Amino acid sequence: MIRKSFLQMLGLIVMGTVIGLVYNTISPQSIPLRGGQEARLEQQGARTIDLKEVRYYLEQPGVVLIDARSPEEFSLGHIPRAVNLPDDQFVQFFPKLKDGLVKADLIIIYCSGGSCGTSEDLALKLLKKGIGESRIAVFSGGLPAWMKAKLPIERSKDN
Amino acid sequence: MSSKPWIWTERIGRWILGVIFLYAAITKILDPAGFAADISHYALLPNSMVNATAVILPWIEAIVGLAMLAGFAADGATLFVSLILFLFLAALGQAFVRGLDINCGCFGHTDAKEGLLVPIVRDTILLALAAWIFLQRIKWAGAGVKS
Repeated sequence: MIRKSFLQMLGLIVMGTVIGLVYNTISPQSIPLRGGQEARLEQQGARTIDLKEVRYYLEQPGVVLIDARSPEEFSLGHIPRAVNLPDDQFVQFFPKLKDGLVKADLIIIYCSGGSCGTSEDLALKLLKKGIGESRIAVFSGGLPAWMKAKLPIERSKDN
Repeated sequence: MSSKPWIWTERIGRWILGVIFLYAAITKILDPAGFAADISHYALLPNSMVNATAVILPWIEAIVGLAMLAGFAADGATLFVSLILFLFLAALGQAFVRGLDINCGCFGHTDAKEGLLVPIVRDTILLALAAWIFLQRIKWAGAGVKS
């Protein structure tokens, strides 16, 4: 009975895998199978950048740096020049930043680094709003990479 | 414990799990990028495996959900449901303990903050139901009872 159950389960897994792979090739919502966040962002018209690129771009005009973390985290410390657009309070914060984002030559988004994920979510939301196509970059290292390089941190109570 | 009421209890429990798995699968199939983002928030899988998991897992859930409803390969489907709910519970538990501020992603990608406690309780109840169904089916198969 246990052996039969395992064999049936394997059969269902194989069936689901095959259908999933086939569906992903024909679906309009298909995502790249290989890779993770970078591949998805690239497909949507955004990209990931590292600390060196962030430092370079922050010296250029027309660059908007977005901190996608919560206002509480933002007030405790953020990268200088960053504005706060919390991913989970997008609707409330977006209107007051919209004009600046539309005009920006490059929008860089960061969160708590690693797999915090909110940068990617925010990038996808901005792209869905028609903002920043090919002009959005996610700083994958985020605040931890910035702090590890002993770069200055700004503290504030608001934007 | 192989009387008719218990056989019907098993059947209804299996249908409930089947509907839940099918619904969860459809929400994820419709938004694979959102589900991939939810998976990556758990910080458990290597980045290279996130997209493939987001593409494949919902379809396995859909096939298993249909199998649970139809009674086709029901033993294997119930075993899968039990194991995957256990894995989901472990993933939710570690995220809760680590204090990750993430959404479950159990029924597709959402922006609303739902916390992890409700999904943990829900998964525990569903896991108990799935495990009970699987163990009953083993017992009935051993006793020659047709479920």
